[in-house]
Amino acid sequence: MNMKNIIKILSFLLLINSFNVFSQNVASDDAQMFKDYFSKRFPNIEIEEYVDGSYIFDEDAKEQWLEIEDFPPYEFDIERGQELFETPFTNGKSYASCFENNGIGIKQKYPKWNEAQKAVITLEYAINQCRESNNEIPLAYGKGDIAQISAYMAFTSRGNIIDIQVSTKESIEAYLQGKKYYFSKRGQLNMACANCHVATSNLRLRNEIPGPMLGQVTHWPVYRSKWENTGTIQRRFKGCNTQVRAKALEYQSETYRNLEYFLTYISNGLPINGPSTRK
Amino acid sequence: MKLYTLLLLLFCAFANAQDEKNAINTTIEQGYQLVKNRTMGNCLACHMIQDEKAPGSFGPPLVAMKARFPDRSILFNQVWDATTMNPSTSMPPFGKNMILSKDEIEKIVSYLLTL
Amino acid sequence: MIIKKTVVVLLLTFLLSNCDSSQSDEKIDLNSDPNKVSDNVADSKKILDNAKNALKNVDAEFQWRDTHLILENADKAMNAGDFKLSIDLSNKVIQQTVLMTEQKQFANEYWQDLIPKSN
Repeated sequence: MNMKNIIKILSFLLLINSFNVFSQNVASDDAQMFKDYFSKRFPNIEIEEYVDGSYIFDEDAKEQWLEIEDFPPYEFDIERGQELFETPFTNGKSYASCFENNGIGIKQKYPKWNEAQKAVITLEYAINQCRESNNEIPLAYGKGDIAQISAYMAFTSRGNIIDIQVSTKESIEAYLQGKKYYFSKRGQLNMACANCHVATSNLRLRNEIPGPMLGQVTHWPVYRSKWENTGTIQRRFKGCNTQVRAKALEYQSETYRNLEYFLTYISNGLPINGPSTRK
Repeated sequence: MKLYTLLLLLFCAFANAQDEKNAINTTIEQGYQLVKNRTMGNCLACHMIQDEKAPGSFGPPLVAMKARFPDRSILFNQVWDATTMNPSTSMPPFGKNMILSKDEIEKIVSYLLTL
Repeated sequence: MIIKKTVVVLLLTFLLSNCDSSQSDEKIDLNSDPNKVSDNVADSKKILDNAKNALKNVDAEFQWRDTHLILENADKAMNAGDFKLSIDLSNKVIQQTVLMTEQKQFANEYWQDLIPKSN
């Protein structure tokens, strides 16, 4: 038994071991678990339908929404977003240089775990990292240009199946932080995201149905009538925090990025259908 | 003279009773306003109440309250801190988390017991 | 006869006074000491600082939306010389920070209880 063989055997054993760690990946259990939970509760609703959010529980509201989608208010945002996306930076480069496939049809892969930065990178975060690496001022988050670029990138990704990777030890840790945030009660009203979007997701809060957590990310960014413009998912995170009388966090804080990571992962297998309209 | 005294006595007794009745009515009315107010109880967000518009359905409808809560203090505690009965509840702890005062919750309870 | 009349008048007065069931007037504190109020500026400042620190030390994820407004009002009250109000409001802030901390501890221990069970 020479040294080379010993090293080979040891490496092989290490590899086997690392697979064991990954197979205990909580994330992979979750992906199926949430789908099973909802399909058991609502056996008449197909998993693919969850991309339409709360409209799957309200036929009248769905009809009205589909009428709006004939002439959607976010059309302008897509056009403007494309313009912004295609306009070169001062240094001559453009967004296409920062993303795979020139940035077309890639939204379903975000948020991504970045091993080098040891951080979750959302699409909007990546857009601004692209700007900064090309000596451009980062855009304000939540609405405006960044929401429009995101709307365009979502539009080019429509129909693509969400495929978020959670596999390394640290990415699993970030995922679990997002998951913990989702199920923790907070704010003066003492409510967790789960208090509205899981067991009670088909019930009414005043006139509105909160909608289920499954598929909740697929249709962002959203033109919200209440906002009278298009906003990103983290803008809604802030709003939800405020509504339970919790202090909203900063855009793209580690907490919000981990939350988006968790929420998007559990919608793996569902297609992107953003941008969309909501009340 | 005696008749005059008697009449005066009766008048005072009646006035006292009327004042107390008005006080109770005011309490119930104030309780109702607290229930409806979106920045206070905002109870309609989750509960159906009689003919009130656009009620939520997160929680049970608020009907037959006296029968369901023969002990007033149990209803009070439910509004004060619903997590003592169900730690996972969606219902905010209105008293414990300083959303409503003890006095305000007492008024709400008085109103709820009329439903 | 005079005694009888006097008794009747007294009785009437007593009965009539009981007709008034409205709230009693706020009692004037005859023991309030103006010097005591101004001494409270030190207490007021100390408690306000405690409240500020307590709020700063709460995890960002468990901060409440409106507590900082109460703190701002406590500050304003102190600057306006209303030390009693300032102390009341500062104490309210401190109370809320205790609740926020308890909320965080509860979440740490019990967050998994909200995860749906599929069976």
